[in-house]
Amino acid sequence: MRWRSLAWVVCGVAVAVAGLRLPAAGGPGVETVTVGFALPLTGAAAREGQESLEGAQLAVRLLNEAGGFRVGGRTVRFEVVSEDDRCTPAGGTEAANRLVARRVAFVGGSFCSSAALAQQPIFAQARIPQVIYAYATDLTGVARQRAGADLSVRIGPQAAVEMAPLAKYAVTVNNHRRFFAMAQNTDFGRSMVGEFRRVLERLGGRFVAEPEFYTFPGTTDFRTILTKARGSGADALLAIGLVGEMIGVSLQFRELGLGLGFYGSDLLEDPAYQDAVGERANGFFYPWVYDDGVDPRRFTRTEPERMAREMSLAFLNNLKKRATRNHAWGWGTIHLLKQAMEREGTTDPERVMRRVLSGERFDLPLGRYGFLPCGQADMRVGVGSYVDGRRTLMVDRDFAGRPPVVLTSADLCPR
Amino acid sequence: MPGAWVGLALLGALVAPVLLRSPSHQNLLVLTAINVILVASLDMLIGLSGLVSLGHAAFWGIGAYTSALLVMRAGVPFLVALPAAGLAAAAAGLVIGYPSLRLRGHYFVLVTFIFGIIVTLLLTSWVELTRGPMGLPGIPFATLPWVGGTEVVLNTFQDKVRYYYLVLVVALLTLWVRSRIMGSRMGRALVAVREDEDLGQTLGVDTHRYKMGVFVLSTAQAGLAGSLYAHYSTFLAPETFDYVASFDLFVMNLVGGAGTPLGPVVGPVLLTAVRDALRSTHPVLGAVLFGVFLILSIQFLPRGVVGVWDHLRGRRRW
Amino acid sequence: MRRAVDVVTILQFGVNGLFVATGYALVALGLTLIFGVLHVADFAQGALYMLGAYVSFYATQAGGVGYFAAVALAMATGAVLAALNGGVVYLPLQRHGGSLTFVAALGVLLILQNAALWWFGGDFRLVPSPFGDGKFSAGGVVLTHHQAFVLGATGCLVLLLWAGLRYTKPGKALRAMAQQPEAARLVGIDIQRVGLLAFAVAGGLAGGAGALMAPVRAFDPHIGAVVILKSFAIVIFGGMGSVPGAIVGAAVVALAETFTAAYLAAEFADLVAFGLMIVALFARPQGLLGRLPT
Repeated sequence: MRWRSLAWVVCGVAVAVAGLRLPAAGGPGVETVTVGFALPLTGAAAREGQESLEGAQLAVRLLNEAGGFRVGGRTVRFEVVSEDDRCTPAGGTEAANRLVARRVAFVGGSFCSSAALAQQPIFAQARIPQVIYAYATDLTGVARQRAGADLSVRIGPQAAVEMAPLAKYAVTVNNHRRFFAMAQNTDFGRSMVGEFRRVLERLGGRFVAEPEFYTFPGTTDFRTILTKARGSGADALLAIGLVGEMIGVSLQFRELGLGLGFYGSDLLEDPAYQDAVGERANGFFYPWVYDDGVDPRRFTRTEPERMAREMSLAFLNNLKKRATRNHAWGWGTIHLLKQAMEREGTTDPERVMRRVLSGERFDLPLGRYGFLPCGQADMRVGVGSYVDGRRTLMVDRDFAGRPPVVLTSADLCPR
Repeated sequence: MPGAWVGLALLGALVAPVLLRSPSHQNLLVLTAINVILVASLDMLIGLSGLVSLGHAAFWGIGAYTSALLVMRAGVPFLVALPAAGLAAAAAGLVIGYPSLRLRGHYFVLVTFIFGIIVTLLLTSWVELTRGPMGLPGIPFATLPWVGGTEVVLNTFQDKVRYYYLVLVVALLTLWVRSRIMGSRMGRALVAVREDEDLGQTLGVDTHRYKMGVFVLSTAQAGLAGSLYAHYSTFLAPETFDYVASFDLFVMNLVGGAGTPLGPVVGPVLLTAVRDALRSTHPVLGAVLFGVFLILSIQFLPRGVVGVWDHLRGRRRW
Repeated sequence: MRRAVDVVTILQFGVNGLFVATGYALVALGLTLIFGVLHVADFAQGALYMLGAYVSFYATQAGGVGYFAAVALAMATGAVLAALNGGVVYLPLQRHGGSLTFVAALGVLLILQNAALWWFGGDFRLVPSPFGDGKFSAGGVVLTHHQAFVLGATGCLVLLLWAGLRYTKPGKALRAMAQQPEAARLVGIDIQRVGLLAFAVAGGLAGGAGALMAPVRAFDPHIGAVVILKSFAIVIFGGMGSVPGAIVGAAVVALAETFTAAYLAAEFADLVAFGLMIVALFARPQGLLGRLPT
């Protein structure tokens, strides 16, 4: 009897969910474009994936509530579907095949490098454009070429975009030249450290020791690596990890009383980091990627980030919370596609993506920028720091491009 | 095991890709067939010989990386890389099995578990060879020689069905080898080992040799599955072969029914189907429900799905 | 420039390694206790560590409870949940052997992890230490007050456990079950009750460990799986079922990791630790301090 009642419960849930998933009926002359999101909704990166999805959902809700938008004389609405890639290659393959089966027109994601790398050839073969968030350099390099994924773009930064201004700031503003580097032993950690080193060495700095890569981020105690850094003769530390690690490294850095400069990953701008570390992060530097105009700044902005303000207001008004950079991925995907469709006058995926890749600039939550032929967003990030426990923007997005120039568009598309 | 059931299962396997036409289902079919190879080979250890391995995915990974690297770096054809993957995994099995199978108790479980973790760490750290955490993208598709000196390229993104049948052939061979072994002198000796090693030894069975034999064979098959996976997904990363994957295979083996003829088929098919159904409800809730499903199935069907069926029909397991 | 090989640095490495060991030891102790009595490899203990951390977070942040009371609360939560798991999930499976309980444990871990993701969200959390940023510093060797508290608390818990196993009636029953299950049954020891006690004690240790480490190590719903992996390996290394083995195993593994990271590279720390375990297993299959099955 237990089995039968369980079976009824399962059936009931399945029917209810199927009912919820019925597509909204479009009126006459209304075209519905389905955007699929392949994101980590469970597993270690679940929060990032869920927030990305939330950003897309709110963007679509507001656009549809406003009656959709006009493309070539017709009204277009978006519909969002999602699949969980669990932040793993196998999960990525599964999610990608499910989205292909659901006949989505465009794809956003993944947030995770290995999942995105597994997905890229699948979407390439199905000719479904992929708007990627993950940082792996290969996604706009060798992997993209081999997969023939000419319809894929990366909407955000990659390692070079984030590390070039940070390294330049360290050398030219703070006069930190001798670095000790530590990072998680992943694509993310390794590529960030590599790009930082490239710019550091170009500006006359160096690593005093080979970088330290740790494997189990969850349980790693950083004191040993930090003790090593203390005796290494370095004048600054570069630490690359996700939020949990950056919290651990920062606290233990303070405990051990390391009198070094501190340069962290972009995750230092995460609200969870700010909550946990607060004042103890004063004087730490990081690449800032997302700017909703709220954080104090030490420069006068030349170009306001319209879309970031818009998104941040939308979150406050509708969901009563402050938007984060993770929301920007999903929100940005929707608005990139909308703008490209409006300009091109069609929803045809290939033509829309050719427009995206034309070099024209788009208004996105991470700034106003275009895309390079290799699919990389031609965007820049600035350098931020903590002052009195508050995130403070020190230099603007154009910093790496001012002399001495440490980052050009050519650096973002190898060969 | 009545031939009718086996025939029905075979028929089901043959027509499945015709009935399930969406790429998402066909992807699951290929992965399920690969899992059948893995679970069938694992079951020769767990079900037949009572040797619980918690590191089976490591041998799968060794095979996958061997095959991918041979094709990519040395230009070896797929049909050579496939057996080479089996050999590489078997070699690893030999090295780890020789000392660990001499001893009794939990020893073998522990060694395989830790060995599995070490393999993942090596795949991650040996960046020059494996590209480590960056993963290995762009692995060429499998190519098979065809009539008139031509070659067919099995592009698994455009056509998963042909690849499915290729995997199915290997899976059927694995199941066939397994059933032959179970009926052989070696199989009876291994059952004797499982039930009472001392008695087996007293009766003059060279238990170590038999255990080594079955372990090396099992790891070789896992290696073959690795090659098939590499040229299917075209992307490898160390985390695909970590301890979680080993646990997954173990769970499939037990839920399907360890030591039963069709258990290694039922386990992967059932768990893939249930997980897929639950995932399409809600990702987080689906994961919770999958946990509930595991506990319930173990509580109510401790011999596995097939095991209970056989038990009800009054049959003994092998 | 200072040289890496100096006494202060070596001492600091030693202190670091010792602290890492305490983090492993508490969870490993519970695991080995359960294994010794019931032959269950309870991977779900990792989830109890995670829940302990969340209990201390919500108790101190939202509940207005003091940190030390929150640690006690986390221990109680861990104990109750573990006993519940044991009674409902594991004990009914006992007669079928260890493999099935392992499947069930993975199921429980999956449920608790994702339920936590559902309720608490995926954000990383940190509990403020009641000791603030206070630290002892002796000639450059640093130990924070909180670290010292964790070391002390772990020491007390280990002592309590040892005394409890040695001098109390239930403790003696536990040891009897672990060492001579047949004889224990013959003298009328109730395996169910002793089993539940082992679960409760282990769960209390895991929950307490989560709360103790919560101000030191940021956590999210998935921290448990990583914690349990290392602790499980340590239990193997120390000898499955051996209480002193778990402690010595934790110390050896933590120090091996620490000194590999210190003098070779962090990248190889885990490789050396696990490699050491496998070599040790070849040399002493029963683990460092375990006994061979008879």
